[in-house]
Amino acid sequence: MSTIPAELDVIHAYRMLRLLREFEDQLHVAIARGNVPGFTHLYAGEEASAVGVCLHLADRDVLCSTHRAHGHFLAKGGDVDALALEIFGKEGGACGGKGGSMHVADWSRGMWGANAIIGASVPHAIGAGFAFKYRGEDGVAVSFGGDGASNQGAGFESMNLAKILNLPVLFVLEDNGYAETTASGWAVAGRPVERAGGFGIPSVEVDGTDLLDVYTKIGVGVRRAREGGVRRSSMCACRCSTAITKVTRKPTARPARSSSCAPSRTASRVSACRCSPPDGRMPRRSTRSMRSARRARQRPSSARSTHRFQPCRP
Amino acid sequence: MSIKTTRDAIRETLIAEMERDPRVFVIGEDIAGGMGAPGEQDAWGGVFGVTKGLLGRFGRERVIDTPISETGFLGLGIGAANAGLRPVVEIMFVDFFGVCFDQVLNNMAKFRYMYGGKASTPITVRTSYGAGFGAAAQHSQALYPMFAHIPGIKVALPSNPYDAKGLLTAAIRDEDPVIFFEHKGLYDEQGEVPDESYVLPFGEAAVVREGKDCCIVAFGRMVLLARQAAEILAREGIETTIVDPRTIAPLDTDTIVEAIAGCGRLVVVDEASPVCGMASEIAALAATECPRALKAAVQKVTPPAVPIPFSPALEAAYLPTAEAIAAAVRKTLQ
Repeated sequence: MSTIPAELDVIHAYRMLRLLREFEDQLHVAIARGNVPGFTHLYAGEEASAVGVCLHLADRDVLCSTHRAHGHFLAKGGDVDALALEIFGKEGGACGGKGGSMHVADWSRGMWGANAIIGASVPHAIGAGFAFKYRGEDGVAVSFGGDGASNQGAGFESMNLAKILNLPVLFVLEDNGYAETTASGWAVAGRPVERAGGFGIPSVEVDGTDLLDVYTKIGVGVRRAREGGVRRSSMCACRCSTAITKVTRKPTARPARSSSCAPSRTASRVSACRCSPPDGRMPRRSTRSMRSARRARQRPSSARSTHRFQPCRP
Repeated sequence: MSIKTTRDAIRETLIAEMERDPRVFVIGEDIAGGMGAPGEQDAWGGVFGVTKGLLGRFGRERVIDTPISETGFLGLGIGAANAGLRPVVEIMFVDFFGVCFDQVLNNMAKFRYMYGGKASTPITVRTSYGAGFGAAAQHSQALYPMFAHIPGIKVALPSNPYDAKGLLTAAIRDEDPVIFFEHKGLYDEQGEVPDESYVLPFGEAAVVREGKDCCIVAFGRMVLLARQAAEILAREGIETTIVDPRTIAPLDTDTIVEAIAGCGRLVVVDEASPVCGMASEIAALAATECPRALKAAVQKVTPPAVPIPFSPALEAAYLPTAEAIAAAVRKTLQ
């Protein structure tokens, strides 16, 4: 049991965790009904990673994300309605409907956007870190990437540059067990946390399902980046969970659509979220697939509510 | 106003913009030279000597040598631009975009639109291109049409020192990503260049020469060859118009179409591969915008669709020549 740091507002932190999970649970229902256009990737199960990191960040700090960005968007202070509207491709969405789930961004909050090319956003974080250093500001740039991104060259090039230019950048590697369908235990040679060592960048491994573990250990890296000195870059490997969401009760109303699709308690009919244990490899998270959406559409409405979603693309 | 080379025009533009705007910095491989090594610093100034002297004026904070890591430092430039700086990134040879094309194609070109107009990426990427130097297949290509193909980036292709200065100034001050192409064969070309700064707007073609018989649209160094061809043809009594688009994204289609329609005959000269290149684009423009004005089939003067050979004899056979352009013009008049 981790100790609670005195400065941590635990109620706010818990609210953020619940917000991230509730949003994805609501969205999951809409996806399963085929109401969400395009590709969507849910963040359920990884909440402690985004919240634990972003509790240390201010609007001036920059976050560069991945295709799985809803949690990063909300944790960085993005607006819930703007996120939901964007995912549904509506006017008023965070990007005016031009981006969708895989490109949600809130530049006013330093959320530089979901980026759906795996690993492509990592160099942008070092660019943000470069700009902070160039201007003599104390901002911090955070790059979120997954176990999939950890195998892309862009990440290695970025870590090398961050180190030799001594930039205030925190590389967060969220290992949720799978890149698409490929297990990270097979695809990632060595331990993810050890990769930073090759560049002389300090790194730490945290339990991505334990908010206090993430918050406490990542705080060290954020402070190191912000305060300057000769070792401003660091890396954090989050062992993240995945969550299988199960719809157990029949929705009494259609899931919210268009402008009213923000999660609310009254609309909530998704009851159970099972988090996997923090150790070991996790079951795959259910998320968008064309197949499951098609199945849901073909099934009579009475059956939809009790359908247990099959895990698909993590 | 004085006579300067294209190399000097580009260098003085970089110096002027860095002095004018503290947000401007330059970054790339060996652009100063000697980083981390003992001995003389700033000895090199890039492989073509364009950035020589910048380090002494602006220091290592604004003149940044990088490892050979194009994805990393181009991406860094994109991020710095998103953060409000004005990076001028050098990709040494356009061929090297092969290792960082994702940052161009999926990132800098997309941000403003994809993020709903709330992001801005004011980055300038300088790169060298072109054959004629025995640099062979991986250091000689003229890949600019590939970039014009991607919505969201601007592409400048100056053919002389005056245009180079005006277009580079415009590029650095632009709010959107610009790729600035410098032909290796133009670095030593001389021309009159004002000492003070000036901006040449993108999307405004230059009509280099006016004549009634045939319109030649040429790109980059090919404008020089087109001028030589025009001189040859003038001695035969054939008068040509030459249009230099100067930027290919945006493309000044109005001026080009007007020139084509005015002559009724068209020759396009492009150093890029003939397939899906600018020559094809201009030919298509003539076919769609002024088909009734055409009195003869459009002629494309381009290299063949092969990798660029090393042997000087083969490379000379590969490249378009003034005589080939003149022959193409004569063909439209037959």
